[in-house]
Amino acid sequence: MLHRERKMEIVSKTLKTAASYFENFFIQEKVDNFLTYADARVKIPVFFSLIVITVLSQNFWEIIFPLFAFLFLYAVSGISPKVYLRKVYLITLFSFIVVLPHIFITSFEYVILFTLRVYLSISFLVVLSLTTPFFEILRALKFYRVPDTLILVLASTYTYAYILFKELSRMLLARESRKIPQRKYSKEWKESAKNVLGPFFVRVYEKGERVNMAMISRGFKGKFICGEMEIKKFNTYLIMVGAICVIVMWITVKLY
Amino acid sequence: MRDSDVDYSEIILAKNLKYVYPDGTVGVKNINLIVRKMDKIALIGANGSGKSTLLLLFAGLLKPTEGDLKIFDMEINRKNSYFFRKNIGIVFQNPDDFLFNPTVMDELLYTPRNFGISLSQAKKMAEEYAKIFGIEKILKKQPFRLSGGEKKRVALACVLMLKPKLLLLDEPTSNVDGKTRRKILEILKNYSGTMIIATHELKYLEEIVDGVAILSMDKEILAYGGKELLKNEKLLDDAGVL
Repeated sequence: MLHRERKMEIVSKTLKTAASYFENFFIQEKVDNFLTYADARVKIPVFFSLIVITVLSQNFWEIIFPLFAFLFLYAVSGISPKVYLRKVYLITLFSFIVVLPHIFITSFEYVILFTLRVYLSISFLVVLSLTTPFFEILRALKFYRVPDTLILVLASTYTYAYILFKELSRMLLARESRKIPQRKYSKEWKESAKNVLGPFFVRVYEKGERVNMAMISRGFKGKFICGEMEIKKFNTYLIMVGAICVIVMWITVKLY
Repeated sequence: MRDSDVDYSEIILAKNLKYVYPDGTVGVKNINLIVRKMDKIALIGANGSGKSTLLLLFAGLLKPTEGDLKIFDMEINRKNSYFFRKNIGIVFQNPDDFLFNPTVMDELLYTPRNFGISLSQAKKMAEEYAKIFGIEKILKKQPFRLSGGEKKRVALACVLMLKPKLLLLDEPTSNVDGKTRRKILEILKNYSGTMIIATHELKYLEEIVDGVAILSMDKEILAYGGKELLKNEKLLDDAGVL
């Protein structure tokens, strides 16, 4: 019985941790580092190109270029190793396990190369997302003529996702503050699950309605609008020139 | 529509106004009210008396279920909604519902940019109002990381920077400290336009308003008149405010 109660407690804690994780996921962009002040219109194609050459690298000589590019970008990003590793380790480990049987089909070298490719691709995405405010990415997409509707959907998702997880966190916190220790967790959790989820969706819906009203009252006309960030030309050019050099060297090695 | 086309003598004219929420809950009913140019009205009533609903109706964010409502002598519709958005400023009770941009600066730029004001001009306005509201040091912060008082000041700055002709405030001084309250009251005292404040904090109202509308728990207007109503304890007691 005690074992079952502990299991129920784990479910409750997991839900709370997940809500808190996603709530913070959307607001943990680092805002003051070298990469932040580079123009997102340049950063996106640069990171995309680096991911492409990573994926197309067929041996260690080729992958060394995106690897060095990543090490440089990571060094100037100022992201803490703890935050970075927490974001990349799971997918890298998963891909390693998935590709592991290839030791018997191809070679161990292939397994390492594959894992390295996954690790580097994820790392580029993590560095990009942690150094670029989400709305800067949207502005860059607008520049590249991505349809307004799609940008608006992304912007709304970003705004509402935060509201959703914040609301869930609040409800779980309120639930915890009123938990009666003498009661059995299992019974309590079952009751709470049905009493939390329904009201949660109603609350999020109503909250979304109020945010929408606030947007309309402030002149929202169905288009994504956001202020512009300060951009430093030196940072932008350095990243652009650096990326071009890496890509040219990678092509040279690839061809010869 | 140009501003000069509009007669501003009667800013709000409500006749037998009723609003029922989709779940059948009555928001307000039998509302008859005239608000004239430059009036500063306090909308007071107990919790759940319909103050917020009435403000949302006056802002054109809810459509009346029954009755007539004219703002600036016009009914709000799709065609003239731009005019109303530009001339009516509303601040919600809960600033968390009102602030949805990534940074405070983005919040300040949001409304002017929506109304087609150039980025440089909008930035100038934002900086000017940030100074007035004492929020210039938090411009790069995320709004949801601010304290309650800071959020209120940001929300007010967002609305007041466009100098709306009709200002609707829902509990502007609730959940703020004394210093922030004084700052907000000082700004509201100097506001030159028509203003309706929904609140149940009576202590500070006398300094700001010149008229009072009291809502009953039946969601109707119990009394409407000058600020002497604030001293009528029986009336306030009946409304559940005291």
